[in-house]
Amino acid sequence: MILALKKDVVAGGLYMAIGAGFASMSLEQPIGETTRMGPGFFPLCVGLILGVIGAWVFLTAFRTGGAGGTVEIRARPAAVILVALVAFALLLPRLGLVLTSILVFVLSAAAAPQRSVLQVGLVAVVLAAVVGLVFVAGLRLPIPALPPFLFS
Amino acid sequence: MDLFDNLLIGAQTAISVRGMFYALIGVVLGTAIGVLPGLGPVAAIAMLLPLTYGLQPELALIMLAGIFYGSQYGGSTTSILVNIPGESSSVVTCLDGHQMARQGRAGTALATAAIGSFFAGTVSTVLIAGFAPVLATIAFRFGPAEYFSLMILGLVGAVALAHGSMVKALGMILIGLLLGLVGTDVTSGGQRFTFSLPDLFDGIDFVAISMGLFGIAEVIASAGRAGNRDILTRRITGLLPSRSDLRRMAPAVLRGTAVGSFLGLLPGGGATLSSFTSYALEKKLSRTPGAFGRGAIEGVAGPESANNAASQTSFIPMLTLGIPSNAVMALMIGAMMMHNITPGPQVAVTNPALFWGLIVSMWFGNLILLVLNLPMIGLWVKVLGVPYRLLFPAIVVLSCIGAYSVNGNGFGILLLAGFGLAGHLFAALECEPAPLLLGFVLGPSMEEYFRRAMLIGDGDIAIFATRPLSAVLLGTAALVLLLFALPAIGRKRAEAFVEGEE
Amino acid sequence: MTFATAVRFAALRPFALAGTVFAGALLGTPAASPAQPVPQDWPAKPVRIMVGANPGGGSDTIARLLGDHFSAATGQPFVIENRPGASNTIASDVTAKADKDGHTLLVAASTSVSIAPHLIKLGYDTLRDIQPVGLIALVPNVLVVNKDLGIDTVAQLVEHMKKNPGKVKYGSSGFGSTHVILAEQFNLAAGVKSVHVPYKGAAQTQIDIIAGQIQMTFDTVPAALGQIKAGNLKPLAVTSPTRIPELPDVPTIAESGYPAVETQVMYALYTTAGTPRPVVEKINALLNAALGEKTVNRRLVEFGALLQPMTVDAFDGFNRSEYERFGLLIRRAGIKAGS
Repeated sequence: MILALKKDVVAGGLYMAIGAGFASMSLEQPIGETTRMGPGFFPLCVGLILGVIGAWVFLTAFRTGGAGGTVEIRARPAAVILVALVAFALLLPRLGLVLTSILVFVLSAAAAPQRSVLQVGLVAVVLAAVVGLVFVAGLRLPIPALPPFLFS
Repeated sequence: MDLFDNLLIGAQTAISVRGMFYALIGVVLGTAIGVLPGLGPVAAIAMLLPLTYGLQPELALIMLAGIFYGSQYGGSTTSILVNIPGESSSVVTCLDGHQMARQGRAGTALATAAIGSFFAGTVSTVLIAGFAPVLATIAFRFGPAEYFSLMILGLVGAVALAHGSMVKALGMILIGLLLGLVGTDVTSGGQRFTFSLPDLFDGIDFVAISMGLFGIAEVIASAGRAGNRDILTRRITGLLPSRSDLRRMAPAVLRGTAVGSFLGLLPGGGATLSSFTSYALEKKLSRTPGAFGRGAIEGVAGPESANNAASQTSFIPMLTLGIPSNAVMALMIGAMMMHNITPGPQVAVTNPALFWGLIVSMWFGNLILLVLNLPMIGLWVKVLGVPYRLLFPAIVVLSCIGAYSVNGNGFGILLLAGFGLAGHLFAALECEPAPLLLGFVLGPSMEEYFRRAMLIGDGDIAIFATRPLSAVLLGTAALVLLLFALPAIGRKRAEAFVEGEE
Repeated sequence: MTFATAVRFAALRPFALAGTVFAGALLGTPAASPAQPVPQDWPAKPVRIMVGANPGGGSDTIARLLGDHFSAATGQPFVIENRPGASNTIASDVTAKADKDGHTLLVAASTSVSIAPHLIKLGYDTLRDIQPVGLIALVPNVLVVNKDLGIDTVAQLVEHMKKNPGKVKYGSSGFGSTHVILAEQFNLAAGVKSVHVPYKGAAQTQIDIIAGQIQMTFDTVPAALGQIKAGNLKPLAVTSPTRIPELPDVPTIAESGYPAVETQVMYALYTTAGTPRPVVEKINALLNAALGEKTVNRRLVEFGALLQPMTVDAFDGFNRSEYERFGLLIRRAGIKAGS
């Protein structure tokens, strides 16, 4: 996916938005005075400076006729990886580390063309077994290795 | 001379069969944990701390120090191979180390890191042995105003981390600063930018933000992109640095060691700056600054040496003043307390075997690291032999586990996903993530020092200019900014030059 | 320190193998009503001891010391789980919401059980949801000042503060630490003013006092002892009711004329409220036996702590009175979050 937007225009806009966002949230905090600064003081200053820098980048991009080329987002891999990560967060407590690892491996592998489904599955199982041994049995992370519902 | 007597006492402890054994175990376990994405030195030490409780105090500390170096080196390994920094100092290693790996020079990058670290470790060990008590007093010259000015200098230098637009890099630093402020305000106890989510009360976790912006963003950018990755597997050239590599890295290692040794002495935040500062310095001194960020060996050699030197000299405030300069040193103090040793000015006198044993074991640990890891490099490089279409799903799974283990819930993974996406967007906009991470790491302490300095100075901002050391640091920052701004004017030409070179 | 932030604590709790827990659950008595296990059933499985701070701190050191002893005495593993964060209250939160069977213990200090509830919103009620088991130790604070000020007594300090209103700065280990409450209490009692400069821990505070950036703090004795003995910090008074063996020449704060500032940090053992009384009694007996044991006792005393074993009821009363006393101090000094 290629957006017909110049990189620096978007970057400048993003900086301004983030700066403005943090600055306005800082205003909800006590600002204080220079002797006793409140929690809002420092982020307000930084947010405002960020806004100024954003404006600079934005305006320069316009003046030079859109420096930095157009924005290219890789929508498909981004979406697939995002889904895989969220799936990991949701599945881990329910299915345990080993099954979750297999599923998330296979899911995220879909972000790129694969040669053989069998190969992906095989690697997934091996990795899941290693991961289970290293993190749960070895390092004793507080993560269930196998689906907790099997034991209740 | 006293120094040699002392080192002899230390050698008797450290180079005993058991001392060597525990140093070896520590380095091996530390490296093994450090190469897991998301698990850095703090995690490694915290996990393995209980193993050391049964040991004699000096052996316990020797083993912990081994774990520390091992996990730090392990973190550099993941930075180089898969672009995932395990802790703040290895962010810099990602920049050129991973580029080297993509050019088939992963072995050289890993060897450079190991050799640079070993050299830095040797020098700083001698420094600690000879001058620890004198060097410790430097800590007292740095008050809140000085630390704030030092960090300004660090941030200005961080502009050098970017190889693109300087103004955009500055913007990324500021975004990092703001993200670093998320969480509970230390001073007032108020919640900032947390959207009432308890998971954010302790701030955004470094592991999630760094793995997201680097590791996951890279996976999104590279997955399924033909050609890009196959180069990497096809031509892996020499594992060890060539003669010309050595010639290029030697001065960088020397400068990195000097920078790191000094910054490590400052318990209020020097060590974090060491790798960033060294990178900025190398880029500024280089005759081909355009090569940085594209696989310059100096960009690995300098920061890795600086980082290792700083982590060694950060033992000085800990051992001589009882002051922990970072989370790792806080754990070390905890370990000493478990063994009934109160770190502080008296340790060298009351526990000479422990004090000097630890120092000698530092050098010894670095030696083991070198001996152990040089042969391992061939093995690590094989990881890159795995086709990328099968490697990247494994990176995703391992990153998830790392992010999950931070707080033991799924929130870390959601953050990881968010920052992975943000990282991809930043890459698409040519906004570089390394300055953001430095800002993120320094943000909270910068604010703290700023507010503290203003409290102590009764609200007068002049405190930053009237304290001489602070003024010098700020002046240097202004000078550095000027130095960077000047070539930017003629950048168009420079860019054309670099492209022509490739 | 930023690095706490840089490498924010990956709270990797040492955790029993899933298999062990599973076996433990099987070996328990599923037929009997789980709410009322008879005391000989405790501990029926590995017990976790929650600690609200990172490994290496005071509560962690104490918890590990006790955990080792408990494991040896009962034959069941006692595993320390570090849950740092939210003014050390996350560990209390976990304890409050755990199974009511005494298999989740909590080692906590005044900051999380007596102070934090008055300052931050918690997801549990400290007095209602957490069962006090017994007092482990009391740790006094010591008022220390920069040694170059030429101040040797509390009276001289008060005089100095009156002459320089608002010029004297005190350091603390951050919002909600005992340092702040003691210093503000001292200001009220002596009718003086001082400026609060928050730090992230005792070490940074000490450097800045030694370097003369700030002038004073009420540090905990274990944290300050090293620098006091090295002659870098000048101790003026201890906040315990009696002088302490480590600093025999330092008067108490009451001797110095300010009995209102007398306060000690307590370290105590808790479990989930609703745990059957016989189990609580059994844990209390185990704790008091451990405190009487020679090695544990010596280690705690060397840590700078005063031991004072109590029965469950006595400690319940003490815990409540500490809770209310700190609440009063906080309200009187007008300390609030987010201001």
